[in-house]
Amino acid sequence: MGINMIKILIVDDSKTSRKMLRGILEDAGMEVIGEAANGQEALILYTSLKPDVVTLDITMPVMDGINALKELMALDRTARVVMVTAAGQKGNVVEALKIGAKEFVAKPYEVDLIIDVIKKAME
Amino acid sequence: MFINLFGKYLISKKIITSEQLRNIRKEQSRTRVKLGLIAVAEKLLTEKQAEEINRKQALMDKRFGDIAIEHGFLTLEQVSRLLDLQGNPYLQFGQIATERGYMTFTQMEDALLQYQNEHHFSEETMNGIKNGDLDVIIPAFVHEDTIKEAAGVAIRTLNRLISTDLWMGDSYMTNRFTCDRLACQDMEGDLETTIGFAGMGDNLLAVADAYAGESFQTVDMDALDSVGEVVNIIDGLYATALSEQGMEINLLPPSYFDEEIILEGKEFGVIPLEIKQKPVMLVISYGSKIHFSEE
Repeated sequence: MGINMIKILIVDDSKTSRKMLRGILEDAGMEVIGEAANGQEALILYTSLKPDVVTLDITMPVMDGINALKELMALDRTARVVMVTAAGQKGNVVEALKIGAKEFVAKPYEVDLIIDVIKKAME
Repeated sequence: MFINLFGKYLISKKIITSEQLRNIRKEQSRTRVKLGLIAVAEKLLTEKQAEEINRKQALMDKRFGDIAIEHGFLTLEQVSRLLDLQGNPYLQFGQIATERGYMTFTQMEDALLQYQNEHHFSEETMNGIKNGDLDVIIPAFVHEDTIKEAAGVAIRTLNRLISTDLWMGDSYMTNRFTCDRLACQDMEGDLETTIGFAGMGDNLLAVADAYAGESFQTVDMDALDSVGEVVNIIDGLYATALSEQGMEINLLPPSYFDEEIILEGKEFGVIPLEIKQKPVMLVISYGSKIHFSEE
């Protein structure tokens, strides 16, 4: 699949972070088809939008990233999820990868790295 | 940071004006310090010797360093060392201030010695400050051991992500603090902490705008969200450092307050900062969380 056909759902409680990530992904030619501010919203949007990749922040109110990931994987075993972390959440990242996340990326975003990580998640 | 630390000191002693400091700040990034000035500052040459080499340079198409070596004033190793110092903030400050006639080099050295004595800084600390070395500057102004590590992570992150136009004052401990804008984040697990940036009025825009890459009109929830992301990054790096010491830490979602707020708790640290000349307070607690209530 070409990079400009990849559809992304961004999940992060920070509007700033969602905006920055949307900018990076759209500049790279990807299509951001939805945004969610917590895990609960993400589950609803995942079902209706059917993204190729979900970027999922770990620290969120209402439903955090780890719990959202568990629910997503129960909903769709083939879901491609990239965990987004502040550095230092290594324990959470390991847990997320065991649950079924494909990749992870740390904030602050490095443009080339996040594009590579999304492409790897699609492989 | 040296330019702001020393520059504000000179303003307080009425040696230079605010406008003169602004001019120095503007020129600093594009200034390469002349080798003659560095050699005099490093006491490798006298002022007379430097002037003699400058006179010779005016008559030949040769570099200062080459003439100094040819005429036995300096060795090759000494010239190499001087070249390494051309980006040194203290020397940049000195060159700009002296060339613009704000002060002589001797006046600057005298003021620097006074600054050192008033702060009881060692020679080693002063050298670090003159080099703009944050690993020396931060512990010189953060006096409480419990908050030093977090403060170091926070200020280095600000310097990297937000702006190098920073100033910091002496930290202090308190159990009550008020502000009218706050973005903060709690951490829990093997250690409870709260870290945040507090400001009055629109001062936190210095952080919000720089991180988000946009211009917020006021410090509203969107702007505080941007500041909160900077706090989140700082906390992530601090949590990494703590996990390397064997501690397990969880980050909670950040909190934002856009009205007058009282911070209370067991003693927590407050570090006065200026970010692009806007006063902002870095608040750090260690071992317990800070509690918040509205006025």
